[in-house]
Amino acid sequence: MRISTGMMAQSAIANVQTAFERIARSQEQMGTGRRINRPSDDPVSLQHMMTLKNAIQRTEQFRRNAEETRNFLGVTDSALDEAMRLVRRARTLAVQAANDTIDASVRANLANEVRGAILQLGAIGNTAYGNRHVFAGQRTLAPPFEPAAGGGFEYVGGRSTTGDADLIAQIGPSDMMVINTTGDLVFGSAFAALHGLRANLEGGSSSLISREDLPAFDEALTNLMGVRVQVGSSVRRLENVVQRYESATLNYTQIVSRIEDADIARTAVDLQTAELTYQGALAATRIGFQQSLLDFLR
Amino acid sequence: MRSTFGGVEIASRALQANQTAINVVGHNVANVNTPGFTRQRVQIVAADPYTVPSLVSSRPGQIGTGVEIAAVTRARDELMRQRLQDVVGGQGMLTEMRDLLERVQAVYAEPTSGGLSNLLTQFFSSWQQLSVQPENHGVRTAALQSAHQLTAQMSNAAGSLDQLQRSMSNRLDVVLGEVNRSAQEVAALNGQIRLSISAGERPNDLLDRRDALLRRLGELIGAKSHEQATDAGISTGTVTVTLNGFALVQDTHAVALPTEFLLQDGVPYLTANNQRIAVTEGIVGGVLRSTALIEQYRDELDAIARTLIEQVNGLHAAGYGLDGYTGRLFFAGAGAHDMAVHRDVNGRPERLAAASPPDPGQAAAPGNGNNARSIAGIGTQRLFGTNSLIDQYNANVARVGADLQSVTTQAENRARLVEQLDHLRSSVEGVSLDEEMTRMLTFQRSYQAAARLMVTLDDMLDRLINGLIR
Repeated sequence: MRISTGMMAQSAIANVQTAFERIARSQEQMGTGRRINRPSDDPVSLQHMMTLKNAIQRTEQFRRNAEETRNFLGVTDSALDEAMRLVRRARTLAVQAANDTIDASVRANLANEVRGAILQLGAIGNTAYGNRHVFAGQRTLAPPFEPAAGGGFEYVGGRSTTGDADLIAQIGPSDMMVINTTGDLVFGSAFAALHGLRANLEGGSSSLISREDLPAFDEALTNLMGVRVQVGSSVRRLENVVQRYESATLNYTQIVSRIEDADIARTAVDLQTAELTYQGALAATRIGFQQSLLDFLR
Repeated sequence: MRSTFGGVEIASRALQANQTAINVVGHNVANVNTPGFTRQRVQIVAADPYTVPSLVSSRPGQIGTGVEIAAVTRARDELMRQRLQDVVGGQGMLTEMRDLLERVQAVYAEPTSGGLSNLLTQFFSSWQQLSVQPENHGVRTAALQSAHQLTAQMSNAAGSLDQLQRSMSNRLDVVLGEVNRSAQEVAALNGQIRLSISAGERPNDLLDRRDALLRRLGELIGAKSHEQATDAGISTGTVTVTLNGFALVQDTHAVALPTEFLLQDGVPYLTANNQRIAVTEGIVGGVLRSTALIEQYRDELDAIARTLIEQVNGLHAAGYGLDGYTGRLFFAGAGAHDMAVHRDVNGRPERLAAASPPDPGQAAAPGNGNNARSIAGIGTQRLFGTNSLIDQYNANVARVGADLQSVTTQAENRARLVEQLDHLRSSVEGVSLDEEMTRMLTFQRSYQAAARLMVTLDDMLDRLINGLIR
């Protein structure tokens, strides 16, 4: 084939250009560490990868929801623990007061202590996680137990009868969870028992204390225990969910990285080959134009 | 009887012929880098011999009368030229499409965290977060911020696509301007070439210029050309340029194409001389096809924005804000380009309607995040067939990538083909400096020999005229 001078120059430019392009491509993969840097690099894998990344993000959010909920339930649980200790203590007071032989001054002291316990229980009922009152139903921003006339408390939080009782957390694509119990249901019996004891102490009827108040305390404790068991099982469920999501995220992330990441060893070899080709193209250009007949004409 | 000075004439012809040949070498060398230049060759022939054969001739035979230049011709590869003309239209289209679609692809900014795929997911996640902490101002503000990021990228992408569309209509004006100028030049050259040929000349350089224009017309708009029918068996040298059957240049007349394109069934066409011309190739064809594609991408983006606005607004208007009010929209706008966070909620995180409607007679409760959860659920609803909003967007981006990938591959293949054909053409038509130098040496030596001949003849005549008579 006859070779013209222009052709030589054109091929040289094209070869150098192609070789340089290859270097640029390998270098980009090397520099970013990614095989897919734009949709056209691999559209099919890109779509798969994007879908997986979305799934990771969604899972992450459900994990955050679950963790947030777990914190909320942790606060609930310690409030319940405190409430149970308080009620147990009040029950021992009741046992003490059920004795006919105690005198009036002791009785007055006991009544005083019970009044304090009522105030304390009110404070426990108004426990908040951040600015959320955990026993207030959906009316989270205001304390659910307001002081009422006669030293008691009135429950003003959300109730199922007003449709604002339940706090719901979504912890999975179709996994909803009611995370609270309203204060009236949790502390209602405890308040009733304390009020009963106080009235009987103030009224001086010891026989009623053993007949009515002691069973009332037992019932309040059973109720609190029931709520606590529920909270405990919810926390365990959340912990399982969080763990599951963590391993799912890890799996997904590994798949994404398999799709997206450049094989560094291979890219390095590619880059080296590309560089060699580039050098070859440059050398070929130099040799091709080094000499011509002109060099031999004087 | 031969003339005494016949030899001088032979020497003089030889000097002239070799000088002409060296000038042609010079022309070739001078144009070694001229695009579209075809190397020229001298056709050297022996001049007509002295005396025609006759019975009464007493001579030993015909005697040569030296050399002459019959013609200066182009070393032309007609077949390769035709094949090139057939493929450059496709190359122009594919290269143009690749360049444009690369700019389109960049608009989507995928796969990065600034892309809509991530921002959409983040937007729905922020509502999910709001559903478990509806009282939290920080979470509300974060939800608003992610909505801002989303709408900014959405309108940015739509705006960039619109801008690309506008720049393409400018590009079309420029390219069609060049088409019209080139067509006019071809028509003018047709006239000059015909004149030249009818005068018995070979207008090599004019032909080169016209060939270069024809190739450019192929690249620009996919025009084809053929030699015009001969005039009583003699070629006039003019070419006709056609565009899908429409005669763009005929003889010395060129039709000016309008820059306005019309659409029929989504296929763009031009109208000139009351004829409908479909343009499927060349840079113009590439711009038109890209325009149609971008229009489609733009519609797809709009569909996603519209669905998002409608769905979110529908739920948001039914929900209640922390301030107890309802009926507010979350997004403003009707499509991707004007999508924004609605002024009713912009900068007022407490107004985000995270709460579902309360029971009759009740106030909305701050801890109610049910509506936020519903809004978060839009992200996974199958709103596009079996695809969610985000799946649909991902599929769209993958389509853009696949379109570009296929165009890039085709453009590369086509470029390689054109390069190969160009090589083959250049192998015949291109100037080789070594070759020209060799010719130069040859002609130089011949010239020197002819000059020597002249000196010898001069000596001989000197002896004859001045030496014999003393």
